[in-house]
Amino acid sequence: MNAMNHGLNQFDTSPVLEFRRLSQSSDFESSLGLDELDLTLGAGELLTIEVEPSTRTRSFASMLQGIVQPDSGKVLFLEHDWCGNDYQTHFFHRSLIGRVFEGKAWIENLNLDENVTLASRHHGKSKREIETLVKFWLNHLGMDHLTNRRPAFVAPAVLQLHQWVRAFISCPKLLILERPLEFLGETWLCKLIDAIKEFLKTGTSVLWLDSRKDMNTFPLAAPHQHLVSDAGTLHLSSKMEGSAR
Amino acid sequence: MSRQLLFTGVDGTWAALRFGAAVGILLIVQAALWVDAIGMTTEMIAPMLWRVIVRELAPLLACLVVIGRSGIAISTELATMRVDGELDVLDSQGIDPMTSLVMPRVTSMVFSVFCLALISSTAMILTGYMGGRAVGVIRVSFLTFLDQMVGQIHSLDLLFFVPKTIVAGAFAAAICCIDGLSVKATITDVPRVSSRAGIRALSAVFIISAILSVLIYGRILIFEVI
Repeated sequence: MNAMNHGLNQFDTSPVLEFRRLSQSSDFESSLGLDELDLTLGAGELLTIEVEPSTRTRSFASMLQGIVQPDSGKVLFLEHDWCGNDYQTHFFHRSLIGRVFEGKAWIENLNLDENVTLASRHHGKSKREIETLVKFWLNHLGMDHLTNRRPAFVAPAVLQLHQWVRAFISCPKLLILERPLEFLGETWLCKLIDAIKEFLKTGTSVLWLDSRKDMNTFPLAAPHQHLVSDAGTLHLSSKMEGSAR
Repeated sequence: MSRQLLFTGVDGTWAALRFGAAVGILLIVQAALWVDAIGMTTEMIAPMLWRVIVRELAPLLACLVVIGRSGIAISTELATMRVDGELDVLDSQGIDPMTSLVMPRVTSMVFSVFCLALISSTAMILTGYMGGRAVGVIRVSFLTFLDQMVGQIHSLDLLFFVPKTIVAGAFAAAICCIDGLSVKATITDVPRVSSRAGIRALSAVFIISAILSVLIYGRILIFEVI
């Protein structure tokens, strides 16, 4: 697993993601609402959020990245609060987050190969390092190579797997998965769980948003918090200590 | 950046040559009328052609080509990207849309306007000569004509050519990008925003060109202002 080693032999004890009295109004069930939610997600911890099938997760995930501002409260990522006009710092912190998007996820006039590696190249990873990471994750997912066609000409399932690779090769501190199994069969669940286990082991925190009812039963052996959306508003459902740490 | 330069500059070469050639013919037709009317000579036509082409028409024509081919396309592209959420995708990955999308487009447009102005002015001079020979306005050999043209080169030409291409090109590019990114809601706003960007960019180019002419010549009509 050297390909995704962050150089973290021991987890940093500081929280990766924090919600402080975070509130966001919900447009009925079409978006996620929050009511003064306090939550801390440490390194190597998993947060699963069960949402209704009709709920869109995109604006909530964008709020975690500081792209959408909450109604009140704060989101802290690695103790960085996304406030102010220091855009370079914001962009740097966003580069530490891997994300599988719900909905539009691609730059349409780039091919998938370019799309997948764009952020890694932009943030200064060497070509060799990117190739190693891509090869590692393609092997893990049983894929031969990245497609060099534009997103408009590629099947949704293949696009979704390319999204996984893009999120994984960024060696993130936080992995945001918005319905990662959308367009994919249940056979891909095991591969995703394996990938998440590897990330949790190396200290990456994982946030998984989905409509699956079985997310709090995944055998991940890591501290795991589970939130459930009730009538569009999130509530803590369960908190489990894992045995990995 | 290289792709944008290819689309805006290299792919725009034929259009600049075509338009330049046509404008060269128009100029010489006008010159022929004045030759008949007031008895102008070839020696008088060369400096007039040179000044009109290099100082006024070539930068303007290059801007028109670049705005028509690329400016509106850039505006449409950026607006569509915004509406489709592609800018959020870039932003989410820590990529600044300003440095990754806007700056390469502005730089490419500025460089393309400069290069296409050189190309279209060459086309104008060549077709101007050929048209002039055809209608009997120019009666000297091409080398002599070229020599007369070269003899007209003045430091003021550079003072006109460089700012008129670079400043006007930069304004046109910035307007197209800003208007494209200003789209708010739906995909149906994109055509409206694109046409608005084109008109604004064209207006800016004409206004800047006029302002620079006034400033550099230091005259409005016959009255000295600086």
